[in-house]
Amino acid sequence: MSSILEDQYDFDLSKVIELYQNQTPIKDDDGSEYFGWSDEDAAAVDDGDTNIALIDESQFLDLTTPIFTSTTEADISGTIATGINEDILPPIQTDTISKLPAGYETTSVQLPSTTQISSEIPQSVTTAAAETSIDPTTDSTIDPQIPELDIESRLHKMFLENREDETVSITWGESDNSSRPSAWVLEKIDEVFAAWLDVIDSKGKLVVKLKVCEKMVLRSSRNQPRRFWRTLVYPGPSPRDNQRFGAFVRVLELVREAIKLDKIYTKRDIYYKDIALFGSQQTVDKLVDDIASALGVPRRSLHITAAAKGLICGDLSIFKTDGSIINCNIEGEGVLIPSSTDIKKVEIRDSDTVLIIEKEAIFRTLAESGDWKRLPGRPILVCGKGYPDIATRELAHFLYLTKSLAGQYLDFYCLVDYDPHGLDIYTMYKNGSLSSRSTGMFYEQMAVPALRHLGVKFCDILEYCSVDGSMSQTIEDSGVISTDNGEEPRSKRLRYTSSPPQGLLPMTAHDRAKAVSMLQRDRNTVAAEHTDDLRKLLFVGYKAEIQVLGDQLVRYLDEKLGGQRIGLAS
Amino acid sequence: MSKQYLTAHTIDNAHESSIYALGVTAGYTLTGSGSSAIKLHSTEDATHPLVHTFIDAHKLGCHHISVSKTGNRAISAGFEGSVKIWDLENLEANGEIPEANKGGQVWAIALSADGSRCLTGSHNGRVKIWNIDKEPFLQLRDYETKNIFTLCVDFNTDGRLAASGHENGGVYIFNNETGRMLHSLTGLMKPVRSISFSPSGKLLAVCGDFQVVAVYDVHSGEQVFNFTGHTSWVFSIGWSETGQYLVTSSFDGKTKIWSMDSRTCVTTLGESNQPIFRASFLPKIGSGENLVTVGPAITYYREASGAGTG
Repeated sequence: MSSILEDQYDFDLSKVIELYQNQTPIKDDDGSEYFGWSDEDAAAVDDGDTNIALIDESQFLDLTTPIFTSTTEADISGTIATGINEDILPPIQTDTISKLPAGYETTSVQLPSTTQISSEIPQSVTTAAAETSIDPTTDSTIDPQIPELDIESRLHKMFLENREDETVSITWGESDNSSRPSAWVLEKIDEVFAAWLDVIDSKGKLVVKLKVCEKMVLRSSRNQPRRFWRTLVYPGPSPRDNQRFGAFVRVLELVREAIKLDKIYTKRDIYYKDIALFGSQQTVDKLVDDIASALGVPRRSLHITAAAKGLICGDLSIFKTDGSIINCNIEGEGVLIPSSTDIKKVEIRDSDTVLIIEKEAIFRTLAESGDWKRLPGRPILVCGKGYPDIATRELAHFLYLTKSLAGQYLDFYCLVDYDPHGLDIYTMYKNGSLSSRSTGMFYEQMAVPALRHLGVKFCDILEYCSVDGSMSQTIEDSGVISTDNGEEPRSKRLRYTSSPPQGLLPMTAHDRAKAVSMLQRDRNTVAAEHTDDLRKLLFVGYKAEIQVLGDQLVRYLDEKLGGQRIGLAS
Repeated sequence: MSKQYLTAHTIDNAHESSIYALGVTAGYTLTGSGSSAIKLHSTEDATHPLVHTFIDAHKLGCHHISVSKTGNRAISAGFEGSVKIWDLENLEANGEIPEANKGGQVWAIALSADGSRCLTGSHNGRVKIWNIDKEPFLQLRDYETKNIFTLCVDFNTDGRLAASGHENGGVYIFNNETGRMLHSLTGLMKPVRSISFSPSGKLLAVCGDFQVVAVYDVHSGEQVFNFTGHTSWVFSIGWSETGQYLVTSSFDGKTKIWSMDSRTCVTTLGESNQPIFRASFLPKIGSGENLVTVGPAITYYREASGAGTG
């Protein structure tokens, strides 16, 4: 998505560059220049903002809410006061400060006129006064709820005409800072906010370059993650750019807030802080991953955890650090797995088995019917809904290290789809995640080395889904003689119509590539169990979902778990 | 009239994983598996001892092996996509086809009777012929089909014809002299897993997930007849030296022998339900038609016919 935006941007920018080619050289990556700006400028910035606030206070109030809440405004003011020029501007009134982010937003749009009049900052006061009428439109570009097309196009034109100067205000391409504390992250964010204040009052656009990883979690096939630069521009050529930028700023702020208040936010929390701005949960997930990746820190250092995704159901209670107790033995449904930092201890009562399930549908079937209670070992069901998140894997690891009340360690089994991704998920639970290792994040504490692959296995396809004897009887006489081919027999032509058993699907090119890359990755792994399955997948050319078991699911689990318990590993 | 077979010898731990590939010459039984090595067991010795191992043949494992009728050469295809050539006289590597994967990764392979030509079928349906008589190995033909995964290919005895079977059930016969497609055989709607010209070159036997063994007349392209009886996907097909019998093996572990004379199944072998990926008749010694199958293990069967010495 970003690349498309970039393309648009480049396209529009090229026109601009033609016009302004010789006037303003585009700066690439000299971030330090902005960090080292003088105190006078800073004073000027605050000056200007103070004046803006004086011009019209009330109009900013609702405009700014989509991006800046009151708490974060306070934080920003803290940044400026502490980080930049404490000495120069000690007596800033809180209400003035609280307008500062608004000032940042407005001035950045007003600047076109600023540049026309003068580039000197003190004069922007008058400009701001003149341009305040445009301010509502600024927010209309950020808030998708108010589509005002002609205003947008007007703004758009303005951007093209006046904001030709590309200014890189952040370039984050850190490699490995996983050992650094959250305070370091805080410093980095403060540096950025400080730097922006300068750029806002110059002629430049705000440009953020982040060195990000391709797909943080799913990229397990490659040994080295592919990293590329993602660029955000404000003001950008389209309202979506501005919205993206707004979302980026908002996430940074919330990270600051979380670190300062020593709280942990989930990605879901962040999304609900401003649904209109983010638009979708994916936006937040991506931004958070990008920021973590660009700073080279684990996501935890941002004080952000994944939205609780995993489910657990079984005869156990989770004691949280805040004193509450989660009973996971609730009829009919699973319980969301809390973050590992919130778990104090786990009490396992009558189970001696953990069954990790890839698919939510299967988990729910077992949980809702209560069938899990009747399965051998009364398994605790864990579901990561596809590729498991950190919390789910950490809980699995936690259970792995925990003895039940009967004083036994638990047996671990995994029920995944019979396809390359299913086997990848199995290895992810078993070995920890390879992708996280390559980004410098060490997640060995998420592995469950004793995990065994229960199914669905190659032989199960044969046993539980009838490859069916009826197929050979379903030979149909199509009776149609095509005339366009002289080679066709004149009489009958046999057409064999039968579909593979339900749940069996042909391997796609993507599946094949995934399987081969997994074989490459794991060729030195001693445990050849899942690699043999990968080869069979490639050779036979069919994959199967857990649903291939259909009604046989409970019987299947009963036999498999029972067989495992008396040592008859299949 | 049915045939009686006895299990003559089983090699259980030939490879650490399932065995997918099989090539039989008078001297060696070549097998390829998930492990990187290709193993050569003696064919004629009754105890079938391991005589040689091609170490590190295919890093990710080997899924197809084809041998020449003369027994001097073999080729093998690996999961990583390479095609290697082996000299069975000196038991050494004979190079590999350098750009086999150019224009589509190779899956299916076949070697001509004299070992001088190699046929490859790729993921994208391209069927190519290579001259592997001497290096550099040049591409002689490049047949384009409908961009459907090629599961199997075969040469006829004199190498003038080539055939390919595809995932959508398509079967094509090519004339290598003219470089044109001779026949496009339609009607099989499911993956064609194995394809084989009869020793005389007049018939083409095809099997796959349609569970039927279909026999075509090569000249006319018409389906002559078919064998029904398998109840699972049929993975391999092979002719006896005389062309009197066909052997097929299936996913449900059954190996069947079909008589071309009576057009019936004369034997069904297989005790386990483990898939048998390949089955092949052994070069004929005496009167019986002996065979070997691979899957979980290498198993040799001996015909216990009344006419034979027993």
